[in-house]
Amino acid sequence: MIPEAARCLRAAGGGWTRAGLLAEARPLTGQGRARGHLSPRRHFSLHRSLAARAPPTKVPREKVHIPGLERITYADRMHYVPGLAAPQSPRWERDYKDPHRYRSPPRCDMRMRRDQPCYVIHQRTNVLEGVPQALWLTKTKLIDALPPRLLSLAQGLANQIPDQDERVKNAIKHARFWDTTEPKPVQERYSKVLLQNLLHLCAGLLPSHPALGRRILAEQHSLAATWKRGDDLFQIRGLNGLLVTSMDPLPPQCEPQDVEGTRELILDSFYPVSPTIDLQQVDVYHLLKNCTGFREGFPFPHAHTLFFHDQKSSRCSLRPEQFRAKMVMFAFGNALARAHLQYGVSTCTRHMMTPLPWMCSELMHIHLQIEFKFIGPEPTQQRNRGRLIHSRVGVIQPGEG
Amino acid sequence: MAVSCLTRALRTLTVSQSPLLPSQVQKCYRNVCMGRKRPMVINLFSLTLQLLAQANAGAQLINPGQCKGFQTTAALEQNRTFWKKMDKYTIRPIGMKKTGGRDHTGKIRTHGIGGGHKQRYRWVDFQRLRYEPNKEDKPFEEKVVQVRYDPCRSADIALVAGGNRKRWIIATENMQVGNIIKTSGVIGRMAVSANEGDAFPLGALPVGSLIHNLEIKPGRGAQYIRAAGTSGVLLRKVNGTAIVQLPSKQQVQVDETCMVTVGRVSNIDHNKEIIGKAGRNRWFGVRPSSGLWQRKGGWAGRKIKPLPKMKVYVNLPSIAAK
Repeated sequence: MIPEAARCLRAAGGGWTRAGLLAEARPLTGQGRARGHLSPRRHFSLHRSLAARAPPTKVPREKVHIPGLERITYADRMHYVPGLAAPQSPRWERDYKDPHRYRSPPRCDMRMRRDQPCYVIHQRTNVLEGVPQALWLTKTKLIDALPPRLLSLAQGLANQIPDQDERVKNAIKHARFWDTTEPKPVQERYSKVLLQNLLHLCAGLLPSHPALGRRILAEQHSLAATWKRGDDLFQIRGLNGLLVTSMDPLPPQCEPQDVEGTRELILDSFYPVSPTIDLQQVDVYHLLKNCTGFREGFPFPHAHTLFFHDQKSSRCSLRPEQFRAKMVMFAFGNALARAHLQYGVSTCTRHMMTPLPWMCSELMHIHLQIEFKFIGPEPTQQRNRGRLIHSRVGVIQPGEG
Repeated sequence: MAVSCLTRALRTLTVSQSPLLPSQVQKCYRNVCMGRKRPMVINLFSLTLQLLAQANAGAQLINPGQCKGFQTTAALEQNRTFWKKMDKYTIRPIGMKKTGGRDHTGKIRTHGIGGGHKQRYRWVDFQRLRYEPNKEDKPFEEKVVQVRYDPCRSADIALVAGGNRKRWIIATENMQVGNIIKTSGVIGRMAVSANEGDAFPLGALPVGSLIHNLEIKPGRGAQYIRAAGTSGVLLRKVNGTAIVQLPSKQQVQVDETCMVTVGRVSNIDHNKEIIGKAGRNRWFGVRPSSGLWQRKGGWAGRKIKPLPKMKVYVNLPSIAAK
């Protein structure tokens, strides 16, 4: 736009001089009457026409083309003649490449276009049915408790921080009262500070748990993962939460027979609503797009926990159910991208022998919701079978997990 | 948005005393040189002096026709008023601009409109039998997601979801979140037993059922019986047509494939609402009348009147054709 505008400016201003500008500017502005008066300039000729109700659209006249009859145009006269038809010239196609004026072909003529759209989930996706829809899309089973292995870790005396309750209270006070001079810090601020404080508390156990030093907190990583569910193609794209990545993978948290048991699981349906409602339908040309958001050779390849922050903005705020669905989807997407990286993208049916554990939590209030995700063996048939998710409200616990 | 901002910024170029553009400097320089018969080699300082002298002395060398004012146009999307004429349906509330009863020429088209609370338009889909793509001619069901107030009409509206889409419809009297409503375009041999909120062709419904959202022509979308608390009665079905009594007791004859919704429109206590004061009417965007003249109401004139003639919206074959 800017080069074009500049060109217009140059073309229009060809015959101008400074005094001419002044002479012509007066009638346009109405400054002639109130010269020297600092009133806001009002452009009646412009504003009124823009703010008025637009006239009703005219239906274009139907052009009748009679085969065998040739329309007489004024093309050879080289000027307009009333009563004669306007000459129609074919659209000029430039025979050289001009990237500034490139017009992409219409969507239906794109070379790599497929008939089926791809359903895309991104950070602002607001799925109507919430968690059940996310479970259906990812073939996941929801379990309403923390895994016993994690519970035992939380209750172990070796994993307790000295003066734990007091220090957690202090962390909360710091985040809510002492972090800023404002009377009440906004949620975007205090939840992030609280997360940092709690992680810092956990880092205090570094002498007894050296694995804590092998983790980092990554922000702003962009994800891309693709999978098929039935005949539909799905993609998870875009930014998601804060990710704790580590050098070592999480140990599996679930028994193999539990994962096997999910083969017979029938997921809830929500007729008459389709499970793909509210997902964005796009034309995707790179079908096997897969990216964890980190380059190859990143020293912390194993994902540990994903923290989500609910933005209380009117544009992208989600209700709790939809927010939990987003957490499930992105936890699944992160795990899937890493699984694809490990086992390859192109194979459709495969068995993952080592499960890929995953945690995901929500930065809403003092409570942090922890979700665990385990990817078990991929089902060989496309049926409603599940994977496992544990979900419960709790507090982050340091330790092995 | 960025384009419009830019054009607005450029528009001020006509009124502000902006520095000259290179091309203008060039032109001006040429005028100065040729008019005063100076040598072609001239330094920048003397050029500036010349410019100032010219500006003070008045525009002698300027042809007024040359300067036409710098006009820009931009498609200001936020100023459009065709909020119902978009290509793609959306459930998003659309912002409206107030017209104050004026038409596109600026003249008052409708008196008594102006002011009021800001309202946003929610696009109600009055064509209940709008099939999803690739699912034509099959009855479908939808789930009520939300029932809410609508500032643009007296009735409440309901957000329904079915298949891959969501849309706003007019809510019925007892519509609740979670209800499943059915829409079918099939006219069977037997009359259906319809629930409230279901939409059927008139020919499929039993005689005497309460209906609303009446279509005049098949496929055009509901135009009658949409106000709060109203309902019509299906009186009889004759020969491929159906006769419906409107809330005004007027009878209309329409095609039997016209879609209607079963039940009564929501917000049934709308007529019992107490406005209370004149200012409350202003909140709704109604301006007071002049006070000199009042339209005569129901108190004036004949009290017992014959029913108006039945309105026929179907093309019946004439008697001569028979």
